[in-house]
Amino acid sequence: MKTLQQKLITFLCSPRKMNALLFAGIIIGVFAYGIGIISTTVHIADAKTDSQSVAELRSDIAELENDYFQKMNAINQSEAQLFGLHQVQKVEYAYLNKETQLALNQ
Amino acid sequence: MNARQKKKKNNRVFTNRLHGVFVLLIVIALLLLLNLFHIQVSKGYSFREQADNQYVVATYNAFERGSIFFKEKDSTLLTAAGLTKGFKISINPSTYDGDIDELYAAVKEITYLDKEAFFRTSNNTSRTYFEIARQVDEETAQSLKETFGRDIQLHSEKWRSYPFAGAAAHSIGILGYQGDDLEGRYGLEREFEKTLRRKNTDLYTNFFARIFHNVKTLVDPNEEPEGDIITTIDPQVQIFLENELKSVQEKFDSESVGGIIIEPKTGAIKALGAFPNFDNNDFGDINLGTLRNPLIENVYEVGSIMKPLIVASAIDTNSINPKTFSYYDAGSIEVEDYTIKNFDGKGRGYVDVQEILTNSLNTGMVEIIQSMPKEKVREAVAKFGFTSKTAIDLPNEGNNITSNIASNRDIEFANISFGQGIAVTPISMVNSLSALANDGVRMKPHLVEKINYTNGLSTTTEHAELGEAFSKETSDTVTQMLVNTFDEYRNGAVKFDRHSVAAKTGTAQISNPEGGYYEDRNLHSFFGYFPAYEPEYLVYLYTVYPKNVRYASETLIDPFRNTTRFLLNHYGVAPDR
Repeated sequence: MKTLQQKLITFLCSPRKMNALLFAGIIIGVFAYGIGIISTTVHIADAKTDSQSVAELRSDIAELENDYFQKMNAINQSEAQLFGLHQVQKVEYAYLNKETQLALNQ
Repeated sequence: MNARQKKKKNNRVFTNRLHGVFVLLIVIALLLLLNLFHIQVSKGYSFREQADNQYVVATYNAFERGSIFFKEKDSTLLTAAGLTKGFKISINPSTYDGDIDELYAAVKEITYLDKEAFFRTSNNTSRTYFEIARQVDEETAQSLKETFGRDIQLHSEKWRSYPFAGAAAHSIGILGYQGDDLEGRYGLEREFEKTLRRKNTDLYTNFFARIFHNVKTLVDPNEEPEGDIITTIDPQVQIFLENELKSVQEKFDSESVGGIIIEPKTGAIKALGAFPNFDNNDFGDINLGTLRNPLIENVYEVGSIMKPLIVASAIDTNSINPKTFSYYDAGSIEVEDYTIKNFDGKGRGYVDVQEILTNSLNTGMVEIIQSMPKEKVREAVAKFGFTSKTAIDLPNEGNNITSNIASNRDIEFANISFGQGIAVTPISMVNSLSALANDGVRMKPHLVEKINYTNGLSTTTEHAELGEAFSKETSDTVTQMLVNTFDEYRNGAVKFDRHSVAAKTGTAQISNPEGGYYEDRNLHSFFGYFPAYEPEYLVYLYTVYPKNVRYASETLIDPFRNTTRFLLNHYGVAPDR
């Protein structure tokens, strides 16, 4: 490890080499930056396109929900009776997550 | 070091540098490959789609706008106002060589066409562009394209759409042209124009512009960030309410009908509807007056639903003691030169406050308001919120007409006691009545629960108090009386066995613009809240000039009961008795 470090220091201890390395770094940096910009722009564009697609899908879903609500409200008692359903005259309620007491009528 | 060794060393250095450059080139090549992969594979679909649709004319479409959402009880958001994508179809008459009759027949199936104008324009070979249909859905457009090929052009376009087609139309509003700009003209579309509109920072804009645009809206207090609106409206409740209102209008041929369902403890409006209504997708043929929101903009003399408020203020100011107050009801009472009668003209002997409310006795209300100092009445009217606006988040809220309280004439105060002589907007009346259901406190009514901004932030509407109309004890006392009143309607046939409901009917005469009141025209109203002692919902209904019927008990009790039963089931409200 130490040998490698020494070799690296020896290698870098030259202005020409350091300049070359700096130049290479700048080139790589510019490329990386360019790719980063392109990638970010593409992803921002994608995000907007996707959010528009989501908004359009939401509109479609809302239309379907509206149809469903209208059909649900169109059901009346006579139609329900055709399917053997009838309105409950006396509704009984049960409490959830509360103590329940039962009374036995004898 | 001799020359040979030096040369050998230089060669090694050169080789190393060559390796470095080689590695650098490999890295760049890999990055380019990665980018190519992204373009060809990840983005391949969209490019392929473009290639498939190459004969669709790619026109720049700038129209973008934020969405408005309804919110279901399980917090699911449903689009109330959004964007729909489709096509407009055009032809080039100068080059068109297809069968024009066949094209006319096909397009006539999907949209209205003026036959004469169509043939005149399409045969005019000096023209190069003729738009024959707009807002055509993708399936239909592609089908036409397959039939007519290059003879027609498809242009991609987007437009504002309202999937619920008329539900809460007055609240959501519409867009209209202001000069060259398409802007919100009514309802939330107008009130939140700055939030909903989108500036032209489209796909082709430098991404820095987009970032700085968002930063600017964050730091500049004068900039309204772009966002989407989430309303408090529950679409199922809204649709149910509108169906009930529609049935009232059809059954009694009413001039207009309206209703509001509100949470009195928060001011959140769950439904708000009125008829005549309109479809915000297609309102070209309707009367402009129909676009006004009567619940916010119109004022009405509301009649007997004012009585509980006056009773509350009389109790709250110690002007009467509800346990001991009584008077002799002769069926009518003289005030200045006027005679005020009960709705049926009949006297009932000695009666107490409960009976005044149960039988809606005008004479009793006159006795009560006469026991209050006039200044106290004026203060009460102000505390009800009738001398100011509710500041609801909808545009054009109307001004209540309460100038009569400035007078010292007894007859003006007598009229106010049973809901005549002052005119208020339905939302203002609902706001005051909500105080009865919220320990005497009026909450600011609102339709917008939250705004989600595109910059990632959001704001939630706070539940703001508008003031205390009367004390909690007073509201409890009046609530008890209203529960008894509702339980007595139709001899107990309409009450709910397991849920207490506090409610009251109102029938008001409609003022004649030429002076006085119409003999045969009434405004019927009804309000109720439940469960009465821990209210979750308040329902307010009214109908203007219903035909062949005299009292609100005949027109609105059944719709109120239906709506209440629906709400109890829909929200699973626990029984309280």
